Amino acid sequence: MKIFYHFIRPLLAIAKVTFQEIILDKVLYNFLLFAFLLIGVSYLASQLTFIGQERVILDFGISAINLSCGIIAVFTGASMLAREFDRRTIFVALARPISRLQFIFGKFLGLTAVLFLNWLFLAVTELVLFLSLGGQINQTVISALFFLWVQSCFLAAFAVFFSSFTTTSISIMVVIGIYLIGNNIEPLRQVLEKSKEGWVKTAFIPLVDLIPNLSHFNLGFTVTYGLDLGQGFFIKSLIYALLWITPLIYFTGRLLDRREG
Amino acid sequence: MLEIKNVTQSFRTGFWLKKTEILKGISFTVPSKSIFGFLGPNGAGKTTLIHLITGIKVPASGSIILNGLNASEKSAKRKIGYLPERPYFYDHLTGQELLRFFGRLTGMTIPEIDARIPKVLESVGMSHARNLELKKYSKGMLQRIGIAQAIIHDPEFLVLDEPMSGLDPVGRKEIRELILQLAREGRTIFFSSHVIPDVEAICDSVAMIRKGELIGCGKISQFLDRDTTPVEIAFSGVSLESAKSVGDFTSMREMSEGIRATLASDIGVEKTLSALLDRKAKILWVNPIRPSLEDAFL
Repeated sequence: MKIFYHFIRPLLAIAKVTFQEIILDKVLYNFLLFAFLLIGVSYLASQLTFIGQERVILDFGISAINLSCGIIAVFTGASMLAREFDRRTIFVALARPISRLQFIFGKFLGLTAVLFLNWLFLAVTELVLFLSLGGQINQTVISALFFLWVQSCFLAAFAVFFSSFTTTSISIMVVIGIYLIGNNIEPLRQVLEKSKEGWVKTAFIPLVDLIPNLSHFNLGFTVTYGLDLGQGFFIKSLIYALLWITPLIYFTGRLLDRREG
Repeated sequence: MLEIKNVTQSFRTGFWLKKTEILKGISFTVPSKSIFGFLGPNGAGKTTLIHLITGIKVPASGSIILNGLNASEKSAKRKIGYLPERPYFYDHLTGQELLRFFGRLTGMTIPEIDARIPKVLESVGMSHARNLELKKYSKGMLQRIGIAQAIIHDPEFLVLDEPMSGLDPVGRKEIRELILQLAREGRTIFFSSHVIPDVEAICDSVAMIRKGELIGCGKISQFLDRDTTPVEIAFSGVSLESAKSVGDFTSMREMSEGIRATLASDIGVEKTLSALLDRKAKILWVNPIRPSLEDAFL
């Protein structure tokens, strides 16, 4: 009970206020509208083909959700802490019996809730269109959509982390870089794995593994062609996301200890 | 009681991360149930020390002890209420939501918070604005709700950082009265300001820092007690040259109605006045100049 009042309750209070704050930001609605428009365009595009209309709409829709959730995660995540310091709201909160880690975790939780809501609106719209064109919902489609949200949380964690020790604009640029590299790192890893030189594998694969690999969240052709997910994909990808997000948020809290405002 | 012992704080700034000392061995004690003024010009290190007292940061060396507890401990933080300078809270919240938020951060239960909100809002005169969003609040209202969030958990020690900053004279007076009322409720109030008359008007004790160093600390009366009081005399009907020979004035200047002159002490006032009257001067006013903290510190 003590943990609830002194740890969980403050954390949820911060998450709630953060959620409300982001939800009221008009910029968010522009990204949401943009995604709805893209899904609308995907419906029109699907009408241009006689076969596989549902695939067209699924491909377009996934890209639109990916873009919308990603943009909100990166931009909001990178500016969230800067705004707290600019307005000095963080100091009033930290004067209360809460730790910096609790504060950051609460902020991050609020952001992931916003990302979830944004994702939910778009995913439901996408599924309704997909079903209306004869598509069939299966585990792969649901997983593909679900991991778009996980990926946006993953990117948000990076954005929050970098914003704790650098400027908002640099954080945004770095996370966009991570997004681009992370989406293209898997082919490089596969090339290295096929190398006949043992030392290449030993030296470079661990290095590549240190780079965030977004293929864990990106189902690509698997979803387009309705293929089965490999065994344990869901759990493995989820654990992979948590293994990055947890230390990122922890170190953000530690870095905040050193920040002077 | 708050004890600040030999506190230093430094930051690393610039490309080469050069060490800059912000606080240099500050030590003083804030007695319980007093209004303690903390004076210093802008950039003196007031807010840095306040961040250390409220446990937002930890001092590089030295200690800050509040009623036997280290200020950075959570149990000490529960005893402190803090109003930051230029309070800017989450402006999408209403006054009541803001108080709920800070109540939760302090670990209060919902029934405790709900029971406390009407009392707190009433004591700061903000009951009428409980459901109004903070973005619609005036500066004075923000300052009041800022004080309300600081006392929501009924702390015994209140830290107010420049609570009158940016307020008009009416607002300043209202906040001054509110601080006095909070002190009457038995709280210790640590009140920072760079405006000396504000501190002089309500504080019992005072400390002043300049460039991170403590330059004075003690009871207000200690700084204001003087053996002699300078007196200002204004008169007309006598020329400046003639007036100079009348008394031992420390300063004199002509104004449209006559001459304003200051005597260093109230001891020779009668003699000077009778000498002026002998010269057919018309006395406009005689004012003793009360000593101020400004004289003591600046």
